[in-house]
Amino acid sequence: MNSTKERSSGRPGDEAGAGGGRRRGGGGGGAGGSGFGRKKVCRFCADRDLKIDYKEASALKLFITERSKIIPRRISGNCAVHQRQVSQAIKRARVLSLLPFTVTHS
Amino acid sequence: MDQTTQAAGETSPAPTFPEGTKLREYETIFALKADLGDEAVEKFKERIRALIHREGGKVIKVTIWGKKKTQYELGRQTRAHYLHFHFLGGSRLVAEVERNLRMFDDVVRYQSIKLNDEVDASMPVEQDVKLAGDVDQPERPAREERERGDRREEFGGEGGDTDGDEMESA
Repeated sequence: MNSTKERSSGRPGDEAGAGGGRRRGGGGGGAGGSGFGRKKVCRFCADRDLKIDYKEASALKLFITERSKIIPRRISGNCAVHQRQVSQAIKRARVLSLLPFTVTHS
Repeated sequence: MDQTTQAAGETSPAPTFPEGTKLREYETIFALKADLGDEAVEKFKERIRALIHREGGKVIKVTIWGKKKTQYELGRQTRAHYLHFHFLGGSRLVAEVERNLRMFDDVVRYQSIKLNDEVDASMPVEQDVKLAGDVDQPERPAREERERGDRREEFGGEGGDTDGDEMESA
């Protein structure tokens, strides 16, 4: 009598027989969460000698797409701190015309 | 603007500061019009150096990057002379430098960055550096029309047509 009440936790999909076989994502999942692809490591954390400098456009080009958009962190693998620094450096380089704002400049 | 005229090649001496003086560390990059000659760039460099010294700052190093290709047009030109100044100064120095830069028509872009809040004013002055800049790329030779014609005959039409209309008959 009370078995269904005891079982249900109030969360949708967790009720018995509701087909709520939905799995929660495991801790520490990589990008995408499907288990494919190895976890990327921030290259700046791995190598402390690498410096982020807005004057080095050739190094920053690795972090922009073909359309000159900044590559997101989930793809570049940077940590939050270094992604912010890279973003700031790219924006500074754009002002000085060391990097483009967009792919087409009339 | 220049109260004193200096002889060619003469640089204004760096001011001396009392021991223990702390200043801010800045770097400023200017982009000048590409049609300026090397002499004009040198003259501009010395004017800015004299300005910084006059306003109570100290130039540590000047790097002339040379004529580089820009990623978009600056002053309706696709190339520019870049100069990099590394200097120490007070908080108002940058505003004064930028105010003067705005008056020059040859300056198409500038940007100042603060590197450090407190730096010892006795930082040694370094030698100026002059880089070559972007080497002028030789113009690519125009494609010969004969080659294009051969390709068209070989592949039976314009390449790159991705409409997927290959099955359609003429």
